[in-house]
Amino acid sequence: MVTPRILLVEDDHALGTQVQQALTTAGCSVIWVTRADDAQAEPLDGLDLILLDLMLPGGHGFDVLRHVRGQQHQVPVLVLSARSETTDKVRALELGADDYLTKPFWPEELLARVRARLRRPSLSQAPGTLTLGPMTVRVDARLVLVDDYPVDLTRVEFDLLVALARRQGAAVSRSSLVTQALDPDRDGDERTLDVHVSRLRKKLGIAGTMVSTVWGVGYRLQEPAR
Amino acid sequence: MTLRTRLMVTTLAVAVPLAAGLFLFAERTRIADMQASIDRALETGSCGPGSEGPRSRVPPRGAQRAPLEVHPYTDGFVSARPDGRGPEFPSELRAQLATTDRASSAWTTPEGRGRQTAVRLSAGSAPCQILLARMRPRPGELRERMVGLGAIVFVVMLAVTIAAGPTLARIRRLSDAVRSSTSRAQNTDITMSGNDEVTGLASAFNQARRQVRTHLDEVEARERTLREFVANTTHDVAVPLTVLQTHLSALEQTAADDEVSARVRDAMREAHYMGSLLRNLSAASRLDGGVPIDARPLDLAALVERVVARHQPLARASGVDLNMAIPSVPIVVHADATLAEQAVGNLVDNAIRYNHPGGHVAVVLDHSPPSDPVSGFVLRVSDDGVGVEAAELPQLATRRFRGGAARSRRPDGQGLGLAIVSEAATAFGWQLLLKANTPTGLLAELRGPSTKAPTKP
Repeated sequence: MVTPRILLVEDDHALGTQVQQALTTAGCSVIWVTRADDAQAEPLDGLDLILLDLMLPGGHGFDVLRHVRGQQHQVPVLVLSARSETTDKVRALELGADDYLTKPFWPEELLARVRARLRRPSLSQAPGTLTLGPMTVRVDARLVLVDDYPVDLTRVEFDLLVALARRQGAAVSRSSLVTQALDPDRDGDERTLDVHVSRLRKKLGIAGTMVSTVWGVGYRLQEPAR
Repeated sequence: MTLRTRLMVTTLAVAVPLAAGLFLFAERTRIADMQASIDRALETGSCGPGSEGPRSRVPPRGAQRAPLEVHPYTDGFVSARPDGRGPEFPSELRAQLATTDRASSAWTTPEGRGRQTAVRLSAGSAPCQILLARMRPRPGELRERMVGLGAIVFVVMLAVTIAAGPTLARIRRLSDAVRSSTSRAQNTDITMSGNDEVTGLASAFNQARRQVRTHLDEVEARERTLREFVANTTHDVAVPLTVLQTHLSALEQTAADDEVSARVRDAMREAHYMGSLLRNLSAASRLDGGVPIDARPLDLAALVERVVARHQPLARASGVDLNMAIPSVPIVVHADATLAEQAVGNLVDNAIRYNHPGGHVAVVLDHSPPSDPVSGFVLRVSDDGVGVEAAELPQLATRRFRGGAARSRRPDGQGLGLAIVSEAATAFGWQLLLKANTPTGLLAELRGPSTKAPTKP
């Protein structure tokens, strides 16, 4: 992947240094400016994201936001707000910001929001086929291949697998799984869910270990870490 | 009782006895007058046929019977008229005449109370020994009197009403003016024309209002300053705290040995705690400050994701497994973003804080079951931590309360956490339910109305 270019507008020196470092470590290239007018002078083309503080010397964060959106530029803007007032956030969103983060925040919180913003435009994977580790799920054909060998699944087991695979990496709640895969008249309710999942795990063989139980939530299908 | 009613009742209470007294007085005068006429008639009366005696029993219609009539009687109380057609002698007078020569009594007639007097004539004045003179009221006299009295009462009432009317209207106008001036936008004095007690009342009210307003302005200014102060302090603390958190986060990843790593985690927990105190402080100052809740549509799923991301470092530092599940479509609720985030954050924060290494916290957001009357969301935050005594559950969401044994393991700030959840929930029209989780821990549930937003393209 190409290194994402991020414009950081933050007047606090210590915080700017830290954020720049965290983003650089995460594989981003960061242009850091401390003034609102400097930010407006920055060329927008080639930027993948703007991290924008609101209380700035040389203008207000809103001015930068207006400037960016005034040029019809679609670069995502993530506002870093230290004010706990809702009006600031609402105002920022109205002016075209895509997201906001309230200080104090943890760097991983910031990185999660940054990643979410960078990822958004490209949901590349075709919805018809889902690939996870050794397993390929072809939704339309209702076919599951593990190491290229087809696995014979019941209707419920297949629907469960698709429900998990569509949200791979995220935990899926039991009630959500029941709604998506279980017909309440024929297949029972949440209590029978565990039985279906354990059969699914067994049938998937080595791929079955990718299905993990999540305490208090439900199940998660996750590609093994490489 | 309104002033008008009271006035009417009072007037009636005075006017009616007064009228009755007048009536009695007039009646007395009338009787005295009748008696005088009777006495005059008797003085000149003789045994001849009553000059004004009835000519026929039934007078022609419209003709008035003579008010005064004189009848002669014999000693045996038998009519001494030649035709013997005089009225029967009244029995009450007959009894009185046994002892005296002159007797009087009331005479009941269809026209009202009349008067009758009988005298025993001196001996030898044959052919009659007793003369009876009686006088009836003028026909319609009684009715006239009653009408007259009624008119007096009516006129008095009318006079009182007319006299009190303008004052009552002024009082009503004053109370309208006072009522409309209680709205905060209205800042002008009440003006009442004239120079009476109502004007005095208005000016007294204006004075009082100005004092209250001045006092209120002072309080508001002080409150605004305080809120500003909290907001500015929050800002001033938030920036270095973020720097601190970033340092700690970097340290955690590079910690050389277990001891250092444990210390860093402790420091991370404290930093997170400071952050949550800061947020709760400003949330509480907003809930208390009477600032209107800025409720707008927002995606609760994204909010939950954001809150869970914020608490992952705390969970990791505490050795607690924090997981969440959200629906793939946005759940749109009407709420103030900051307060809602803080409310959900406090539930997650509590679940991690009152837990133990190896414990779990699960945050599950879902649409409410289709059986619910209103489509909405259900957010459950469950943990398998220390939990709360069943008896303490109801008070848990009140301010300054911390569960006795379990939840006061450390001095937990101002005990604001769940109170803010509860107050924010009330403000958004959500329900907060806290119950014991099985086998241990706490289950907190938020429910409220929501709409399913179309999936973003």
